[in-house]
Amino acid sequence: MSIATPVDVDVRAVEPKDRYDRIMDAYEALPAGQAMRLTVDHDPKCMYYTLRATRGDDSFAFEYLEDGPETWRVLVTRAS
Amino acid sequence: MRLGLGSGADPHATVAELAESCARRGLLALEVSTSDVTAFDSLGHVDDADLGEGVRLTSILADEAHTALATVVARRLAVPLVLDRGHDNEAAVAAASVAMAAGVTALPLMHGPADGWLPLLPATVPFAWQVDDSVMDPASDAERISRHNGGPVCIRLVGGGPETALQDGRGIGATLRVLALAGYAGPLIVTPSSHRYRVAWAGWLGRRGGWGCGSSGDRAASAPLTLTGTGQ
Amino acid sequence: MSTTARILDVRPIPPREKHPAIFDTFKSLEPGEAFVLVNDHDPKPLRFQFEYEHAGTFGWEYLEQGPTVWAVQISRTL
Repeated sequence: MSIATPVDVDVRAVEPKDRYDRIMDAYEALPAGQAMRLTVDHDPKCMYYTLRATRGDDSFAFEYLEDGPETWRVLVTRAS
Repeated sequence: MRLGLGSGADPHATVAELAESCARRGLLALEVSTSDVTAFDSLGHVDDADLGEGVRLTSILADEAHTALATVVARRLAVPLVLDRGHDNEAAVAAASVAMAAGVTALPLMHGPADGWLPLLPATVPFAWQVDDSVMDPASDAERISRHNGGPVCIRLVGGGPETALQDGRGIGATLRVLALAGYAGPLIVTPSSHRYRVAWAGWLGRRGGWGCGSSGDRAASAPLTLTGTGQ
Repeated sequence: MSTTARILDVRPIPPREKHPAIFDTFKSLEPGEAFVLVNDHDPKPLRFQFEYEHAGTFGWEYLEQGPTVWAVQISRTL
């Protein structure tokens, strides 16, 4: 069974106050083993810490595809 | 610091409409400019700087042509008058001195790098500061300005609001850090940098409105509420 | 020593400069001092970042919790 293409979640044009919900809703909608490609205009490490604290260290993977200086793209995979 | 709004964000709005927009966005301060005729004229119906819902009229911004009239209004409402003479800082200081004699708190609005205008401000003279593209190093200027005559009474930040993402790299974050650590407690008024962003500001204020009969304000939501720096 | 409240409203700060401004403000505090962070949403992710990067050295007290504005007093304890 092939892994589905990551869901693209680009929050750059989303108002900062709405970004957390947009990202977490997208994460929650991921089936186990699937990923989303998060695009942001700043280092989203606070989301890494948030997932770590609220979902646990082992429940996700957080891989930087692009690391600034203007755009950050992270592959966030929801573990099974 | 108290984040606030300049009337230029919605040029055809009355003070009541501007105050509603402020409340909607959680902005506590409002500056009315004599250039925004609807807002300035509607001050005739305002008796008090307290506009309701926690929003306060914190200053009236006056250009040269309207300073005399603005002085009368500022005195009646007991709010500071900010004298805008563009980059002619000397003229702003002179105009403030005249307005002070007329019984208002008059703040010359200082433009450009601090090196150019700090020497123009006599000791104890209160002043306002405009942060825009002509200020090369706003954080470093903020350090010096905060130590001068007790620091600025009022600050205008050109940009902000829906233009916030476009301000990247200008040092706004560092500037606000300096102001916070210095205990700056005055208004921080955000105002559009250009008419070209008027649609974005209208959306940001929740005042998209319609474009004609039967049009839905919600359908006008094609413009992003936050302008990105990517040219989108 | 200043007794004036230190208020940092991050709403007009561009995205890439926001967290650096917050953490630089925090690091400039002496132990016992605090600043108030003002934002238009609950800064929960920021709190998690503080807990991982400044564990045991900060205090976090909500002064206002919406619906439009959130204000948090962040103090340096050590």
